[in-house]
Amino acid sequence: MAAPLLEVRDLVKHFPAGRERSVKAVNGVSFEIARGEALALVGESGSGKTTVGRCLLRLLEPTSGVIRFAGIEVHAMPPAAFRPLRRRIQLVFQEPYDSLNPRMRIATLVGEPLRQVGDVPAARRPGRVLEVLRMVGFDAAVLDKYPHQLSGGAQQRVGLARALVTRPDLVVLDEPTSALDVSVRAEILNLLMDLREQLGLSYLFISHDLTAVRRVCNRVAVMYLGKVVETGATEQIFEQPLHPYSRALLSSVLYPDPTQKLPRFMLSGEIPSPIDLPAGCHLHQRCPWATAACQQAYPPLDTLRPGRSVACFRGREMAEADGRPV
Amino acid sequence: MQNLHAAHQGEGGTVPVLNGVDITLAAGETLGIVGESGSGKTILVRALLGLLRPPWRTDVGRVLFDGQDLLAKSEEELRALRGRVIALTTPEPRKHLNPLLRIGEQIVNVVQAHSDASRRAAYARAEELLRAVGIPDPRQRLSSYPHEMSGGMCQRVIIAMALAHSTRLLLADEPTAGLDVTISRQILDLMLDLVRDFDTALILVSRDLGVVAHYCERVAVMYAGQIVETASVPSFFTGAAHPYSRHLIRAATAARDASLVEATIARESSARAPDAGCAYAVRCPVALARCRSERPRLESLTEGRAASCFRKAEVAAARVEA
Repeated sequence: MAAPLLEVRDLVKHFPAGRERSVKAVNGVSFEIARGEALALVGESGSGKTTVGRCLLRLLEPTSGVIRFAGIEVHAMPPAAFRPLRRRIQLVFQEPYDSLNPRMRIATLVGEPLRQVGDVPAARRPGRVLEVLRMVGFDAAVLDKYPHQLSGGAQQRVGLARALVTRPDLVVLDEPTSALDVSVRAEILNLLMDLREQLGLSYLFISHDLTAVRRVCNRVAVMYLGKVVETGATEQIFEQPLHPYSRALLSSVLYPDPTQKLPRFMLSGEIPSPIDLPAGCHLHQRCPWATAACQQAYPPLDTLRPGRSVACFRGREMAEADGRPV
Repeated sequence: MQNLHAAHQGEGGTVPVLNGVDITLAAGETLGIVGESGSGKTILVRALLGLLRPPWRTDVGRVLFDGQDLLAKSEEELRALRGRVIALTTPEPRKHLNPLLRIGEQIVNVVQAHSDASRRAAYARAEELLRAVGIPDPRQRLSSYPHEMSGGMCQRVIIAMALAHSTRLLLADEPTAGLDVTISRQILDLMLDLVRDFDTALILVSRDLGVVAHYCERVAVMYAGQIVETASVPSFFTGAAHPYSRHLIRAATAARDASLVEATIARESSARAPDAGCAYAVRCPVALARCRSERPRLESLTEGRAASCFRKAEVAAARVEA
C-alpha cells in the first residue's frame, strides 16, 4: 500500500490560558488521508477541528505529535523549509469576502499565491490564472472585477481558484459553504466534487454539519472536545453511527418534514469546557450509556475493521446490538 | 390578534412593519411563526406584549387575550400580566440577564414580582425551577453569575423565569439561535415537555422550518409584515398554498440545514410591502397581472388553512409550479 498523502499522529495543541491553565483544543488526534481521498472532520464549536486544520498548514505550532505530508515530517520544519511544500497544501476559508483583499482585482488576487511560491515564471502566470478561473466556472471578464462586484458564491469560487492556482495535492476546506445561501451552496459542493475528480485532489473538509459533507467526502472523522470519536466511510457513519456522540449529532438534524421519525434526544447536560476537561471519556457526563469504566479512562480508538473505528468502551456492543455488519 | 398594524417612525418617514396581522391561538396550542429576518416576526411578538417603544409603534388592531384587549390596557395592567400569564424568551439570553446579579437573585425577583412569597420560599421555588429546566446542581447554580454559564445554560435560566408562574402563553423568540446543534435539541425538547406539563400555549418564532415541523402543531408564515399562510403542520408540509411557503420549504429541503436557510433569507430581506398589490408578486413565479394591482386577503381554503394568494387552490394542489 502506498504511503498516505497526509498522516497525522497523536496531534496535540494546547493554548495557554493564564494562571498555568490551558485550553486543550486538540488532545491526541490521528488520521490519514490517501491521495485523491476526501476526509470530513466534523464536530461542534470547541471540538478542535479548525485547530487541526491550522496545524496542518503550519499556521499554528502543534504542542506535540507528528504530521507527515507526502512522507516528509513537516510539524517541526523551520518556516523557510516548509515554504516549498506550502504550494502543495492550500486553504479555503469560511468567509469568502473577508478572505479576499477588497482593493485587488480578481486577476491579482488569484495570481498572488503564484508570486509568493515563485516557481512559475511571471510570463506564464496570467495564463495559469485564467485557466484556473475557467475551472471554477468564470470567463475572462472576471479578471478586472473587484470582490465586492461578485456574489457570495462567486467570491467563494475565487477563493477556490486562489487555492488551486498553485496546483496543490491537498486542499483544507474550513466550513467552505457555511456562509453561503442554499442554492449557491449546492453549486459549490458540486464544483468541489468535480474538481476532485478532474484534478485528483485530496480534501480535508472541516464542518459542523454532517449533511454538508455527505456528497463530497468518502470518509468522515467525528470530533468531540479535541478527540476523534469515530471514523468510517461516509455512508457507514450516516447509516450506522456507533459512537453515542455521532448518533446525537446525526439525530439533531431536523429535516423540514414532520413525518421524519425523531429519535428522543439522548445526550444531556452541557459541553464541558476545554480548559477543564472531564476525566475519562470526555462525553461520559452527557452519555446515557456511560459505565464506571468511562469515568476512569479515555477509551482507545478501537479499529473494528480497516477504516472503521470508534472510541467507545461499548462500541462493539453497540455494533452487535445493531445487528448489521459494521 | 386582529388586524394588527405597527410601524417604524424614523427621520426618513414612517415604514410599516406589520400590515394587518390576524392570528388565533387556542389554549395549550403550539404555533410556529416562520419568516425571513425583516418580515416582522420579532416586532409582532413585542407588539403582542405591548412592548413596542419609539421609534416603533403599534397603530391599529386588537390583541384579545381571553377576550380582553391587551392594547387597550394601561402599562400598569400590562405589567401585571407580563411574566405571569404571558412570558417571553429571547434569542440572546445572556443580554437579558443582569451581569451583576447572581442567577438566584434574578429568578427570585421574577418569582416575587407576581406573588407574595417570602424570600426563603422564593429561593426554594428558584431552585425547583432550575431543576425543572435540567440544570445540574441547582442549589449551587443559584449563586452563579451569568458569565459563568454557557449560552445553553443562560437560555435554560430564561425559560425557568418564563415558567416561574402558571404561564398560559409562552412566546419563544428564536430560542435556539446561536446554540450548538446537540444543545438546541435539548432546549427544544425541554420547552415542549414544559408547555405540555403546564398546558401552556406556545408561539415559537423561528426561521428554521425543521424546528417548526417537529415542535409545533400549527404554522403561520410571515412575509413583509403580513401572515401569508396559516395551516396545520402536516398539511403545510404536504401542500403549502402560498408560493412563498413553497419557496421556504424548497430552500430548507435543499439545504437540509436550517443555518443555511437563514443565509438565503438574510440576502432577500429587503422585501418591503409595495403600495398596491401582493408584497410577494415581484419574486413570485406564478404572479398574475392582477397580483400587482390588487392585494390578496388571507382567506380560508379548507378547514383550518388560509392563505393570501389569488392562486392558493392551484398552488396547494400543485397544479402550478410555484
